[in-house]
Amino acid sequence: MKEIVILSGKGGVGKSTITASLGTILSKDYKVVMADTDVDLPNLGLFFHAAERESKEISTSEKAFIDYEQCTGCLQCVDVCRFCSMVASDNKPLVISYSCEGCGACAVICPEDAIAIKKVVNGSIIISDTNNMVIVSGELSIGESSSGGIVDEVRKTAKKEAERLNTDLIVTDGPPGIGCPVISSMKGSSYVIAVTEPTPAALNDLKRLAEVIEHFQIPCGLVINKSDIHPGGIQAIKDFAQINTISVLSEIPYDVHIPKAIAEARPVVTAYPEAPSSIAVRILADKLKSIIKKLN
Amino acid sequence: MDAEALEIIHQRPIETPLIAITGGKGGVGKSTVAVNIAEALVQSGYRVALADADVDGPDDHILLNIPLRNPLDVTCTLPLIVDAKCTRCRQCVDTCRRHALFQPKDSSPILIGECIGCEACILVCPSDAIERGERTVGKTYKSEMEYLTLFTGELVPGVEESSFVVNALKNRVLNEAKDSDIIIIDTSPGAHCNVINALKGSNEAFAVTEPTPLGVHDLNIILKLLQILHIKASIILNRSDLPGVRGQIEFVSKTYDANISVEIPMDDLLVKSYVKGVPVVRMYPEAESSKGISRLSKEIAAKYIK
Amino acid sequence: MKLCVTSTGRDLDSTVDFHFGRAPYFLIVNTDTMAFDVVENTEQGTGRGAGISAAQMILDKSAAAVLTGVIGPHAFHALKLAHVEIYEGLSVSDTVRAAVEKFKKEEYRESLEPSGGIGRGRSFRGGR
Repeated sequence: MKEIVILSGKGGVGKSTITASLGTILSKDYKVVMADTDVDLPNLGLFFHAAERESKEISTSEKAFIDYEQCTGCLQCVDVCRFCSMVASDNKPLVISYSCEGCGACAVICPEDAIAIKKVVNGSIIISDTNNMVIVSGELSIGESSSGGIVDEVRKTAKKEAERLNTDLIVTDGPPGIGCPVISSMKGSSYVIAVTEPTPAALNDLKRLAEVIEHFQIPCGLVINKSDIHPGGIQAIKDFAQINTISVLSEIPYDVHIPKAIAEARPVVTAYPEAPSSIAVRILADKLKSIIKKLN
Repeated sequence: MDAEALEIIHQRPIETPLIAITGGKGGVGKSTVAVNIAEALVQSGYRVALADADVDGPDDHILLNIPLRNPLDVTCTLPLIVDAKCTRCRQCVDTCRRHALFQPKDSSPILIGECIGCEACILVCPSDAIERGERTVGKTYKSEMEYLTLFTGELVPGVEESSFVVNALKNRVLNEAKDSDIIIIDTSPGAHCNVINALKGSNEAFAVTEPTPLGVHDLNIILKLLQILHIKASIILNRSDLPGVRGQIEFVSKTYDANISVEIPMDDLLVKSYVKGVPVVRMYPEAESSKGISRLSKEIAAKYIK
Repeated sequence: MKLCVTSTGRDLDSTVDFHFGRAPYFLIVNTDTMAFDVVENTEQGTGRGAGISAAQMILDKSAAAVLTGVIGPHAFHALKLAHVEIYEGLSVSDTVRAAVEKFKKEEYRESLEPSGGIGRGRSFRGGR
């Protein structure tokens, strides 16, 4: 079983759009489980009229809780918290829970044993079915933290579904950025597709993403979306790709059918199969099939 | 979040008005809007501090085409175990909630896993055998121009401890922007704790969105967050004439009582100036997008700059 | 020798578990006598560092080798520091007993490098 993760560094370059269409095409030849690991703002489900099968709350986060009956107000916990999450209010400590990392430093220092570190529900995992695919998504509860842990759970659940269904391929929509959730999404995957666009900001973020992918030694390829919005900018991307020996898998032109399809809540390859972007995605899918075969 | 906690997190050392540009969804044009609002305020004669808190991938310096200057390292503690003092009691290994420490049979514990710099191991050690080393997790920068100062936070790629960088950036801005008339902060996409760290203390937050189902979905989430945080929220509708679901945006606006403060149509001139690295309000001041942003920035100035 | 096998259950007839850090049980089996100890993995639900805490538990029981499906890089590193031999590539349908028998017949190869973390196995024996 292989897992392909689609990342971008910069948000808004078309990662989820491409993932939805790519998954749709690949599901014609493979059994596919799709995973949405952009757990802050899971969007993949918006492309499919999927029926929710199962939803469960999960806890991948721990927080500090103070027992005020034991607390004497010494405020040592406020001094030791490295995450600005323990503050003094009226001579008593107060946990700022959204930023609390659950590290337990406060519990260690408390002379009265008045602090406990406990698991909290910080998100949920949802499994949905379309007519020929399973979609596993994760959602971080608003204001909560530890999205990395939820990403791990989404991938674990996707893998379980994949094993259960004897699936060949997991296609994962990754989170934006390069931080902890992105690292969690790519660790142990078979291949990364980096999506970018020919603007200076997107190239800047691509470079940072490429460093992280390189660190984890995962093979990767590049897709240039909205490739014709800036003829001057595309060369800079190609030069970068060449210097870093990353193959450019596809150039997808800006296509007004894409926002139209999004407004219809369908992948562009389903809504407008002869559109230029649909044709480009089908060619990308073919390339991927050869790549997948060669992955060990 | 309870009222007490809210009051505390919104406290800040200076009275300078703080306006946040946020948006939930990535790629809606948040940084473009932030940079142009800052630039428009400069055109009106104000001294502006712009803080780029999208530490995973700060872009404002690219949109302004200015170099990052005055770097300061952001560090966190790296525990260093002193073998000579260690009694192999194992308390550090057992206390570390990330299980980052491992003790082989015949040596003192070794840091193998993902350490977040919490210092719990240092606090628990009964033999004072763990020293505070340092590791760099990111940098903050300050690039000064005549009336605009850009503060940037940047995470070292591959590092997870982004909250240290956002907090360091926020502290640097609040300490070094005393002479500014107004601070604009550009948050990262999402609704997670780093967005909250950037948003806290704001007088008002503008949620940038677009009239697509994805934009609506994410707008709901960010407005809900702003409601929880008791921060006044308004909406900036970008690419307002995209074939889409404008009606749904209006519905969300009513639900959260957040006005659509400006609509920016799809504008070729905006794209042209964006790829050139010049803010549109400077390059094409007569463009539709420039006029809308300039008007909004005048409203912001009138409301908040005394 | 004392061999640790990752297991879904508490006895030799339980099916093996594929993932080192998240296995519910570790059976420390004496390969000569087939006597065994059960270690319950109390940290299997943990978000981070499950592999390292598992490695620590196994070391405390003086296992000389680990037999599992896949092990992540942190746990791999920890076990190597502790001079524990690592064998990956368990077949998910085997019982612990069957896996130990295969081990005695030298059917597994020692892993000299970590194969990867979540989601990727070096080989799914019998799978695709």
